[in-house]
Amino acid sequence: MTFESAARLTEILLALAFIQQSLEHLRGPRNEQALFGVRIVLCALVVLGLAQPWPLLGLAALSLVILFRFQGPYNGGSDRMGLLALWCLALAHLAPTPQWREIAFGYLGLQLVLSYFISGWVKVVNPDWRSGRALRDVFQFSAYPVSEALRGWAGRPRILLAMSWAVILFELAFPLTILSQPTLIAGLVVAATFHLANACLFGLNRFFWTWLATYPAILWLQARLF
Amino acid sequence: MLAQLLWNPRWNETLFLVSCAERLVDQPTAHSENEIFARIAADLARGPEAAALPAWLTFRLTFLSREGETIAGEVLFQSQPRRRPAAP
Repeated sequence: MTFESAARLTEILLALAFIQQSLEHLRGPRNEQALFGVRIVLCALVVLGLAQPWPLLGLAALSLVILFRFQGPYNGGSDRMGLLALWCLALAHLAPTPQWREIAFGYLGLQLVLSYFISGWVKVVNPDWRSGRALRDVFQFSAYPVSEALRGWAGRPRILLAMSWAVILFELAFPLTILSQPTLIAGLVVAATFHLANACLFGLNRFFWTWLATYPAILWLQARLF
Repeated sequence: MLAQLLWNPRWNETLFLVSCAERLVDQPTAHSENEIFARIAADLARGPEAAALPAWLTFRLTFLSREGETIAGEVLFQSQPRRRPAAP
């Protein structure tokens, strides 16, 4: 995958992810509707490839207004990753030389790898995660399970212990997948399945689309480095 | 469940309210309190008995945590009452 095609694919996927988020905001208060209505128009221009790079730069500027509106990210980690991807793409457009453009886009791929590895590290140093207790707490009394029926999983400690270690080991091992393209593709399929499960169990739909949008960056970076 | 991949606004608003609640306890700001008030009021106004609801609104934040084998709840924030905005 060339730099141009990887960056363009990331732009399109990210714009589509932003459109999905923005449509959800159209049922919110009027000031939100205005902000996210503008965002949908800019995203549509990005998808269509019109007047580039201005719609993308407009989205980057608008992201600051949205951050101010909510006094931080609206949706936690998914918004942070979306902002990171957006600003890396904007910098890749603004950078003065091809080398700096590659550095800006490659930084997104690097952050994607770190997003998994650091999540795994935070879990493996936590005794509650190593014993399966943390995941049990998530199902038992956290705000995340999308239905009360799912809370019954808190009574299956062996399954939760296995799930905890599966997630921990996958996240810690993810950086090794970039050693070859087949292992990276396999790793990204597992990662996407993990995000899909989180979307179904915990309603975290925005994570799925946002992380998926950044996958071309790591696919390009892997080919560039190895 | 798969439909929620594309359309899940109420759940995402709920998660935003959880963030506001955590911010309100960690670093209280008028913004977080205003957001919670506004979204509770809007939700009540959409309900079938909106006209019969009291004019004043208050909320409290109860946080759950595990203490040994039991789950304990603690009220960490109680808002001052506010008059609900008039229905549009």
